[in-house]
Amino acid sequence: MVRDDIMVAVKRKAAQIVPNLNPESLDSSKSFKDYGATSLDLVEIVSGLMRELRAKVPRSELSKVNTIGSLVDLLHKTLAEQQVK
Amino acid sequence: MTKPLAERLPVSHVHVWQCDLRVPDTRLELYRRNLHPEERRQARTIVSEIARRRFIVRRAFRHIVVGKYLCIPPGKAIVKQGSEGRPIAAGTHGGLRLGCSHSGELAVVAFNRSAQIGIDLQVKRPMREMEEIARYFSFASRRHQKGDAADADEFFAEWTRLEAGAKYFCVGLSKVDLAKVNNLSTQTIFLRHRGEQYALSIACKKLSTTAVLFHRFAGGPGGELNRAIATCDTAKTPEKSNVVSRDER
Repeated sequence: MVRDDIMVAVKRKAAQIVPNLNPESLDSSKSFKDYGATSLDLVEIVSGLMRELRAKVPRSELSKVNTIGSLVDLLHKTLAEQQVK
Repeated sequence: MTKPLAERLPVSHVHVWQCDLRVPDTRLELYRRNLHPEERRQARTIVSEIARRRFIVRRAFRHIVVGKYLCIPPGKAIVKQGSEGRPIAAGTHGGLRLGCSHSGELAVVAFNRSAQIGIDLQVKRPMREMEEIARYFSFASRRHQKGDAADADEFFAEWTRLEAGAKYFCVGLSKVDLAKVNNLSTQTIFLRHRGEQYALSIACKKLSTTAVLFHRFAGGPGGELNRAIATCDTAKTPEKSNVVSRDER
């Protein structure tokens, strides 16, 4: 899966979970909290994406998610590693 | 001369102050002016207008209540991140412990004099991933696994307990150890505000506190504070997941 597709999935999922969020206005250098998301929102976004994309992100990797772009990178890396295995 | 609230806080008590984050524009502007320059800068980076407004109110609220506890003006009350990432009221030399949380339209600040505390607040809302999250963080009960919709209360109690524990230990959610959280004394209550239900958990060292007193912040830059709305006697309740209903409108 290419990074752009993952970004589309992240935006769609974030818009489903974070109230009043316009997915088109998301800046990947910003954090979800800058758009009003809570830590539970973030965990729900990650959980939903793991199921949708069939990606298994270890809990220990969550600390790397500081920005929207870093979540996209983490999912991209996870999927790439799963493919190799 | 008025005694600082901190000196009137019994060592075995936790005071929890709650604040409504919805304020009129005029008050918001007053609050914004009372923020420290770094906080104003942080506020400007928040994209969502609602999230920005809430940030300003909860930081101003924190300054006001910390100021009351230390008997200093809100503008002089500085809450810093300690070396471990804990919020520390500057000038208290660790004598006054505090914890902060916010969710939806509410923010809370908790104070204790004797021991470290962790606090977490979460507005209850429909969850798409309840079972998956409970499993991911290893607090899935049998009912979570069956997907019982009536189990939402338990989920939010467990979630806030986990987050309060993470804050107590000063670790992120990726590193929090549920077994260690289970060894803490935790209290969870549900409270209602503007038609929404919130779960609130407090974590502290076992037997270090005997009572949790809840107060509502009446607002205003002067901060009218002394309004107790509920108490929770930890000596008479189970140590974990003590869930009581508190309809607070």
